[in-house]
Amino acid sequence: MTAALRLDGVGKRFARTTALSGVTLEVPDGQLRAIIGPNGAGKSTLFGVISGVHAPTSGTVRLYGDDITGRSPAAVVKAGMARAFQVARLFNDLTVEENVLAAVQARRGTSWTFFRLLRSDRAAAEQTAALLEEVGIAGRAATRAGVLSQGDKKLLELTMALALEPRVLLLDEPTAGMSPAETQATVEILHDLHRRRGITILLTEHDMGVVFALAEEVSVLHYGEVLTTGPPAEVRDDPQVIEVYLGEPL
Amino acid sequence: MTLQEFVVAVVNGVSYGFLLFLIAAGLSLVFGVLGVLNFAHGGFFMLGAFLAYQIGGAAGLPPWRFLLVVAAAGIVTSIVAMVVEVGLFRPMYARDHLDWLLMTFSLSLVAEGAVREIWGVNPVTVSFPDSVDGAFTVLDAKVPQYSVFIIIVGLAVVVGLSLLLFRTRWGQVIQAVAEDRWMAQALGINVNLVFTAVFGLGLVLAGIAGGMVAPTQALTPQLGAFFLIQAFAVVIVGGLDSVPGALIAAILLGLLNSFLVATLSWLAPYSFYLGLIVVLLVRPQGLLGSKELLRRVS
Amino acid sequence: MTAVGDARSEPVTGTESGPAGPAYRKLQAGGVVLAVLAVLAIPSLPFTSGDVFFWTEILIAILFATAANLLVGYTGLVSFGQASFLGAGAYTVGMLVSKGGFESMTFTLIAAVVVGGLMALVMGALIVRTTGLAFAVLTLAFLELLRTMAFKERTFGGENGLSGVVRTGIGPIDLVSLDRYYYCVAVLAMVAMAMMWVVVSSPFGLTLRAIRDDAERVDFLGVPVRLYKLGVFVMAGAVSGLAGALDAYLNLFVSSETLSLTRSAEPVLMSILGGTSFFFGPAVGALTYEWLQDLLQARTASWVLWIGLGLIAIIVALRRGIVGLLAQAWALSRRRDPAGRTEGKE
Repeated sequence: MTAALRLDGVGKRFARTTALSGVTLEVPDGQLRAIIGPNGAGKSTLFGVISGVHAPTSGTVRLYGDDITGRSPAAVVKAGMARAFQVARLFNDLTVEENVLAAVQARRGTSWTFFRLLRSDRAAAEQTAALLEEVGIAGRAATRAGVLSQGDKKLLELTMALALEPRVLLLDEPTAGMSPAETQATVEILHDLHRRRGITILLTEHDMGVVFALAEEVSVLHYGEVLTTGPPAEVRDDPQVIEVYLGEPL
Repeated sequence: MTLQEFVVAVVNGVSYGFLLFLIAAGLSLVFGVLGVLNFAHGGFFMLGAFLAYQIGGAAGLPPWRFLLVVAAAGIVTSIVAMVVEVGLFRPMYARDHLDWLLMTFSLSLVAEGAVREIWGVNPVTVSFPDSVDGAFTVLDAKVPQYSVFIIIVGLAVVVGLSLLLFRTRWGQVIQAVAEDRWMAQALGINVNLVFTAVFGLGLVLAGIAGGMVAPTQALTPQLGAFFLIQAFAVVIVGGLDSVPGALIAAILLGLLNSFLVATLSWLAPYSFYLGLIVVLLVRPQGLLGSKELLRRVS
Repeated sequence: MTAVGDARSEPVTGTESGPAGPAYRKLQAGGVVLAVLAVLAIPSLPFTSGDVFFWTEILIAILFATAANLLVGYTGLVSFGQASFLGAGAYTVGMLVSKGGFESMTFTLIAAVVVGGLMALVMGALIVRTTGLAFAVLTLAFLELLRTMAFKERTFGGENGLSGVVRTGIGPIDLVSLDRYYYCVAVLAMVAMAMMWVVVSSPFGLTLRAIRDDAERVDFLGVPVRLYKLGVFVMAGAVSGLAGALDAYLNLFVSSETLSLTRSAEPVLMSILGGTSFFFGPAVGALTYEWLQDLLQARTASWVLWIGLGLIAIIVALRRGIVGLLAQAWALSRRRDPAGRTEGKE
C-alpha cells in the first residue's frame, strides 16, 4: 500500500550551508512518527520542505503517491497536509473561535463567499464548536488569540490544523514552551486524536518523554540525514544514536 | 537629433540627475540605516528650498554667498529633522511599516502646512546666482550655466559623502548599524545616536537639494510632493538601501528624461513612473539593492 | 513562561461587553438608524439645509473612505492610490457625458462602477503580489501615471479638465435640483455601504482580517491569498468608481484634481482618524475631517498643518481612532455598572 508520506533523497542547500543532504523517509498510513535529532540536525528545514515553505534542491516529496515537491504551502494543504509551527502562528487580533472558523471555512471552500453573513452559516459554526470541544479550549472561544497562554496558543493552532481535515498532520514541537501540566494534557489530547481519527502524524520533539509516550516509530535526523528509524525502545538503545546524543540524556 | 541637441540633453540630463541624487541620497541613507521609507522627505526638501529663499532673499547673489545660503538652509533643515527624529521617531521604531507609512505621510502634511503657514500659498521665486545665470557655448550648443553649477556641487557632495561613508570611522559605524543594529548595539555602538546623526545627514542633503532647486522653480507648497515621487523612482530603481545605486539611477533617469524631452517629448512626463513600476514589478531590489532588501520592502 | 492559571485571569476581550458582543451590536444598530434618519433629514433641517452641497460631498467622502478601508483596515494593504479609481469613475462620467453625449445617468453610473472595478482588476493583477512598502509605492506610481495622463493629454481635457457634465436624472426621476441629487447620493451611498457591510461580515471578510493579521499564515490554510487581495482590491475600486462618478455629477466638472495625491491620501487619513478597525470608523473620520477642514479652511490657509498634527497624535497615542476611543469609554462605563459586569462575563 502507498505510504502516507514518502521522501526520496530530499536535499536542501542554502547559500553557504547544506541543511539536508538526501533524506529518505517513509511514513505508513495512520502512523504516529516522531523525528528527533540534536539542534541543527535539519528538523525545521525538513518540515519546511515537506510543507512547501522551501523548495528542495534535490529529491521528491510524495503525499499518498501524489508528487508535491516544490508546491506552494497553499497547494500542499489542498493536497491533504496541515501543519502547526514550533512557535504558534495565529491570527492574534481574531478571537479563538474566529481563528478556527477561518480554517473551517477554508476547508469547506466557503472562504470566497462574500454575500452571506458569517454568522448565518450554522454548519461551519457547529463544526468549529465541535473542534474547540474536542481539543478542550471551548471555554476560551471568545478570547482574542493574542492574549492566550503559550499552551493554549499551541492547542489553538492544533485545532486549526485539524479543521483542515488533513490526511497527514505535521507538528513542529507540539509541547515546546508548555508547563509540565500542559505537556501532559497535550500528550493525552494527541494520543486520543490519533487513535480516534486515525490520521498520520509526523512530529518533531525535544521532550523525549513525549516521544516515548506517543510515537510508534522514531526517526533520528543527524547532519541532514536519517541515521536510523525504528520503534522507540530500539532507537533508544542504538549505540549510534547514543553517540549522537552524547551528553544529552535520552 | 543634432549634435547641439545631444550636448544640451547630456548636460541637462546629468545635471537633473545630480539634483535628483541630492534629494534621493538622504531617502536611501535613511531607509538603509533606520529602515524607514520617509514619506516626509519631500516635505523637508521643500523646507530647504523655502529656507534658502528666507535666508538669501529673492535677489541674485554671488555664487559663493549663494552656496553659503544653501548650506545654511541644509543645516537648519537638518536641525529640524533631528528634533523630529528624537521627539517623534525614537519611541516608534518598534512599530510596523504600516504605522510608519501613515506617520511619515502625516508628517509630510505637517511640512506642507508649515510652509503654507510661514510663507503663504503664493509662489515665491529665487534668482539664479550672479554670473551663473547665463549660458555657455559648447560645440555650438547653448548650455545653461546653472546646470553646470549643479553638476559641480553634486560632484562635490558625492565625493564628500563617499569619503564620509567609506573612508572614516563614522562611516564604518553607520555601515555596521545598517547591517545589523542589534549586533552594533551589542558592540557598544550608541544606535540611537547613529539614527539621529544619519537622519540629520540625510536631511542636510535634502535641505541642500531644496536650496539648489530654489532658483529653478516657482516655490509652492506642492513642491515636496512632486519631487518626492521622483526621488522614490530614483531610490527604487537604484535599490532602496544603496546610496551608489541611487547615484547611478539618478543619472540614468535624468538622462532618460532629457533625451525623451528632446525626442519623444510626449512620453517624457511618464518616464519616471514607468521606470518605477517596471523595476518594482520585475526587479524589486533595484539595480544595486541587496537581496535582503526583498524581505524588508514587504 | 506563563502558567495556565495566570492566563485565565487575564482580561477577556471580545465577550458580551467587547466590540463583538450582542450589546455592542445593539448600540451599533441604534447608531446606524439614527445616522440614516439624520442623513435623510439634512436638506430640511434649518441649520444644514443651506449647505446641501457640502453634505453631499461628505456622503461621497464617507463612501470613498469606507471603500479604501476595505483595503487599509480589513486587509492591511495601504493604498495611496485609491484616487486612481475615484478619477476613473469621474472621468468615465466626464468622457461619456461631455464627449460621448450620453444623458442617461443610469448608464454612466453603472459604467463608472465597471470601469473602476476593471481598472482595479488590471492594476491589482500586477501589484497584489507585492506587499507593504512596495505595494504602497506602486499604487502611488500608478496614480501619478494616470494624473499625468489626465493633465497632459488633450483627449481627457488636459489642464482645463472636462466641463459640460450635466445632471439629468435616473429613469423617470429628475435630479437637476441639488436637493434631489442629494437624496440620490444618499440612497446609492447607503446601498453601497450596506453591501460593503455584508462583505466584511461574510466568510470572505473573515479571511481578509486573517490576511491582515498574517498573510503568510493564511497560505497554510490552503487559501490563495493573492486572489483574495485582488478580489477586495476590485471591490474597493468599483465603489471608488461610484464615488468618483457621484463627485463628477455634484461638481458638474472633472479635472485631474480628482487624481491628486491629496485626494488619494484623504480616505486613508479619514480611516485612521475614525479608526481603521471599525466598519463605521472611516465614516466618522470622513465627517470629522470634512467638518474640521471646513472650520479650519475658513480661518487659516494651513489647515493641513493641524490635520497632520492630529493624525500623528492618533497614530502615536490613540491607535484605534475616534470610534476606538468611544468604544473604550463605553466598555469602561459598562464595567463600572454592576449590571454590565455580570452580563460582560463568560
